[in-house]
Amino acid sequence: MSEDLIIQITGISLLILLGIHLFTFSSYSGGLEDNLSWEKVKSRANEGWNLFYFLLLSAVMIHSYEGVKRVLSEYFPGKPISRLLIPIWVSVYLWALIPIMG
Amino acid sequence: MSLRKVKLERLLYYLQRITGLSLVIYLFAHLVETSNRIDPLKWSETVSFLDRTPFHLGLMLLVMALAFHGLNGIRLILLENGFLLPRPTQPVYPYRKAISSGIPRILTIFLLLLFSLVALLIIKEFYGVISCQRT
Repeated sequence: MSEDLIIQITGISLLILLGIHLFTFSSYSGGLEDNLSWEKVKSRANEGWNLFYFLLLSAVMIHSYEGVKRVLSEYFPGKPISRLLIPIWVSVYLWALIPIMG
Repeated sequence: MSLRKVKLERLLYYLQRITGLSLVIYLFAHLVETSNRIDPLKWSETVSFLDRTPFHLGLMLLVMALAFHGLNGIRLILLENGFLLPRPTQPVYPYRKAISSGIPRILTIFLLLLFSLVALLIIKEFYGVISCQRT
């Protein structure tokens, strides 16, 4: 699969997933303060929401990796950008999965 | 005239990269922030720390950056896949760039107008949050 296609697919997925994510935290769904209370956050820690955040996180990490790689490759052509970015992105991704697993 | 037209697409190209990179920086900060949700005490400290006007304003700008990045991304996907582009023709002087005239230009203007509308909605939403915080 080409890098352009990966960026396009993850980009469209993010439009949908981030739209849902932002809508659930807007005043249209009961107010920001209420949505950020500990009880509300705890109540969202169920399998459905965790799956949603897993998908969102995965799409965000792939899209951001491909985007940063593209920008850096334009400024530093021929340099091994992936070798620098992959360890950073994989470690951040695994670290960000901890709250979802917990 | 044609030089001025090229400048808009070039500006959008830079803005797409600037908004993308700022969203990546925010993503990492957001992951650190939300990792505190495991501990209720840490979480309430984080929420009360972030419940300040400068953070709300910063978040408002980031949501606008996100809206711009998404809408311009739709434009780029359509153009990169050849949708809405005119049929290729022999290059005749004075050369016209297909991307900065005709339907692609109308699409650009439409998406910029749509972004302005979304930006107004975002300002309205955050104005509500900030004014609730003050009262």
